[in-house]
Amino acid sequence: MESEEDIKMEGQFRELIVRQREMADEWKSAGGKVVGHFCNYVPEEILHAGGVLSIRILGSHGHIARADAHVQTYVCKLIRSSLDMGLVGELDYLDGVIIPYTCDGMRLLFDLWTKNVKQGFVHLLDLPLIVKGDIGRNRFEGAVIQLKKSLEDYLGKSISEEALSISIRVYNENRALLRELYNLRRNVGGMISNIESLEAVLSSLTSPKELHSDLLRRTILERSKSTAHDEAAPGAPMVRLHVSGSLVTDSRYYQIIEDCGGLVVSDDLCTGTRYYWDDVKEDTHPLKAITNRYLDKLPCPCKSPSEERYQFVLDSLRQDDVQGVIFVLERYCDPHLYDYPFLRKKVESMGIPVLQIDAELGLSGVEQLRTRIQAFIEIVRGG
Amino acid sequence: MDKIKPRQSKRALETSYEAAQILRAYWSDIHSAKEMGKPIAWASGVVPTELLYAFDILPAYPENYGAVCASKDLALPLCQMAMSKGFSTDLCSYALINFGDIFWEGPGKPEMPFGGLPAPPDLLITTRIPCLVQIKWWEVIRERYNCPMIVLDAPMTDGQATKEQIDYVADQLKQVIVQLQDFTHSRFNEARFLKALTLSDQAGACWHEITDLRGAVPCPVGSREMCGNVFPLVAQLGTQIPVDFYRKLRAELERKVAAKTGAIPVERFRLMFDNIPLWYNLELLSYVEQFGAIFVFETYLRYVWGGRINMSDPYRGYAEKLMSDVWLNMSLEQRIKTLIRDVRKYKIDGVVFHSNRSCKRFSLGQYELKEALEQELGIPSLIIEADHSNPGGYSESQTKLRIDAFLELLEERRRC
Repeated sequence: MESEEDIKMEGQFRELIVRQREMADEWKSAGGKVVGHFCNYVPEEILHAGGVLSIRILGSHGHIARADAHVQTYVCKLIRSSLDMGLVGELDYLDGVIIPYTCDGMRLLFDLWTKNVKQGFVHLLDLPLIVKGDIGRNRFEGAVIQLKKSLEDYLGKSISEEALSISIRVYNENRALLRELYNLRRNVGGMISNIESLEAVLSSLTSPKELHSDLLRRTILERSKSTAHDEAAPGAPMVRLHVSGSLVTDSRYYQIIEDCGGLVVSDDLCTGTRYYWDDVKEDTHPLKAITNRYLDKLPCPCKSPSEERYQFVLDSLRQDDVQGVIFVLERYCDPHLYDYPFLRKKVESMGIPVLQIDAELGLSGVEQLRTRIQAFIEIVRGG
Repeated sequence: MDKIKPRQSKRALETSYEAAQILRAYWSDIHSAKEMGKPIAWASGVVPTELLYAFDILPAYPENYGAVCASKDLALPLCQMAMSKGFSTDLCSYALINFGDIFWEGPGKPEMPFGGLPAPPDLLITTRIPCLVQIKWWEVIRERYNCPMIVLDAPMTDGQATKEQIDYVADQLKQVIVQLQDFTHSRFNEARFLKALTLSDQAGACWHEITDLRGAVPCPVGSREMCGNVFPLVAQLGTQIPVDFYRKLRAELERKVAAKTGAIPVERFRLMFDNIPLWYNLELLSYVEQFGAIFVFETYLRYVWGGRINMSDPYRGYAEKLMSDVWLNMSLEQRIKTLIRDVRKYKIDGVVFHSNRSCKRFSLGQYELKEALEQELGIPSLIIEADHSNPGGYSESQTKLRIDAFLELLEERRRC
């Protein structure tokens, strides 16, 4: 049984998501700047060190009002809906936007944004494709230095090494807490719901980090205490699942999985481990350490080589005693769609069943999806 | 709209007939080379082909081969096979054709043109200059054949590449040379490489002159025929073949232009085509000619293949050529500037944009280009929805109706 306090706690990450705009306004009222960004290759630590609240832009689940006049419909929903948000003024509260060259669509989004969404600080983080070797590293470092310089010009102040070191610690702490929560949900089944674990990450992407870390700490403490007293939940044990893909922003996916008896114990998502798996080293030159972290982080399929990503997924499956994998594939997301058949084959060769869900950010066809997930979980149970 | 007596199906230029011979010879050579144990690289478009030739590695082009398969109506079964292997229908149809080929299982495989791509490849070489998709596609090929892969990265440019951008690509080219030495166990022969670059530059220069000669009024040769003439530039830069072929083509064009001989009897409208052509329906490009319209310029032919190389600084000049003169690697702002310039230069009356669901990198931004044309030059344009290789979902009759209406519009504007 969940206690009232648990329910209250559970809603708190969601509340941060709901209050995102309000928090940004408060930040601005206090004299700070708020800058949006895409993907998880933008070194937010630099923004934080400049006193900027960084907001990850995650698109919307609604219909597209104006973007279809600027971009074809065979582009992913993240790009289309985010551009739409920019065009209709939903992002007017942002003082700027940073767009990294990750995939082709993102790179061209920068051009479309510059041309159509008038906004203060619009910056292209011109990242290399290859993250191994000196040439790629130097190029990456150059892009990070350029970002810092442009931001300093925009803010009219320099960002000190000391400020960077503090921000690195703040971000590392948040990542460490997210990993702790991840490990807890793996190890202590049912301690945290699917939705809450997703919302914990989603809220981290848009909230002031200190505030978010504080909530994470309290949640982990509370849950550890209450789980110790709880009896095992009655009924069939939950089926342990891994979710693979790019973005999951609609918590109903996780709700349906849970309703059907599935527990998401691990993931490789941009809104999951790919965001918080790696830390910035605290014992070296801060900007260099930041560069290295983003170069060496768990790679997105936009980066080459991709073996490390495959390895991470397969390792997750081994460590977590995962019983099934759900691929949530965003339509028109080429990098993931090219990787999918092989990754699927590798997973299946481990004897783990796979379900593929085609997504366009927001969930449509709830009941149909429920039926598919239900059938999948039955297969996993039966196997 | 009145039809003008259709021209005979023969080509406008005698030299164009040689393109087919060059293509056949290329395929025959590459299969013989494979049999003799010479290394074959499967190469993306816009890779440093000249370097491969300098190392005696013959490049085969799965992308170009996809276009060949599409032109022979083989795309559908191959794409379907790829989809049955888990590849999304939304991926680039060039890639799907290739996946259908290399993962084909069971009976019923179509007879592949030119004896098929020489498989397995000994080496893979790819680049992000046209698109990230190339890298992802090549990673799949690598999974299939487990062979070494070389990757060249480049940033998109605002027209002229910056010093840092050129350095970045030039540094990688030097690394590619080391990788090729390791692969071939042979020393890099710089003189041979510089010779290849010189030949490439000569072919590129000639190609630019050909493009300009097509700017003459009346235009001496239309798009459809020129699409068949681009292959040596795609696959053979760095060899003598494109230099000889394009010099001959240029000479013939010069004679046509001097004599004011147009490709069509009466040239009333000059059109531009943007994006990769519909390889399964190239006839669309010549369809307009019966109405006195002709495609005289194509972004795909001018800004993807060939280019000048600053030979006084060959490595950096080569890097600059690879990343700067390619439409796909231009920022939107640069595409707009280039389009406006070329519409004026080639006296274009209207532009047909192929919104190509298989090529996001080419297609994104077309709505902005359309608007810029209208606003800055008052030039009308038409967007047709299709795919460069997969004919599924494409309606030829609907597209022709839209082109008819567009030509009517041009007619009306001329009357006003």
